[in-house]
Amino acid sequence: MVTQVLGLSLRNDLSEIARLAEAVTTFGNRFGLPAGTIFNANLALEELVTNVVTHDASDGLRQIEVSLALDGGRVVAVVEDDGPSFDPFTKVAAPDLTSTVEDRAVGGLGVHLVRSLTDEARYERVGGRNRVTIVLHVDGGPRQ
Amino acid sequence: MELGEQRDGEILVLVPQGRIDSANAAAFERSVLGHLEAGSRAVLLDFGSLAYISSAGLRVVLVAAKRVKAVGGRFGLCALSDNIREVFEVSGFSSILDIWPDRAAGTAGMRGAS
Repeated sequence: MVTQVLGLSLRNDLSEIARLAEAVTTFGNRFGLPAGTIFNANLALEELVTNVVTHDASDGLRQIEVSLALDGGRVVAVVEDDGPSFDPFTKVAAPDLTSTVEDRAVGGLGVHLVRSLTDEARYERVGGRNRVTIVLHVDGGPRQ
Repeated sequence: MELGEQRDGEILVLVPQGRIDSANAAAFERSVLGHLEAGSRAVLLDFGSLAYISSAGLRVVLVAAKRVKAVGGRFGLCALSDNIREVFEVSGFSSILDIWPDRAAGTAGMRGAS
């Protein structure tokens, strides 16, 4: 059962990340979520919102809608934007995780972190909008 | 995000505080690289006061490590929180960077490696 929902509307600007972090942390603390769950939710949502902001080359003003819900023992978060179709889970190449410091490419870790620190992460194109849904199990539920 | 600077002998210890995210990673990068331009050959990032880091911050850590290693220097990190350590592990950074549990171990380890 969904017990609580938080909705947040962000501009496509990285300066909005502070507001996102504050909202996620407030939500997590209010419902007594473990610090690790709050950390991972913050990180995954920051990476997703940052992707939307940095992949949109149109320079237009866009709204990014973030929602958070506590559904039993799961945190379900959704990031939606009205930008061009962009599936981060298929369009972003898998990072190189093993090269030495000298050889390793810089960057490209955001989507990998989203996948690694959540229990589910999926993309849909719905009604002309990008929608990414992530799920985190509370209390250290099993990772995929 | 504030970046403290301390010296332990020849080791430059940089202490970021608070959060490193996509909004302030560029400022963090300028601060760190500014310190490295002073010619430090042994740099320890002490994360004991860092609450949060995302991929934008990891990118800066790797850039700094490359910069120090390119001049034959030593680079390490210490005092990662459990949450930050997990981020380093899933990123593969734990296996390519020297990471110590606390500052004393870090400075001792870096001296031992010289």
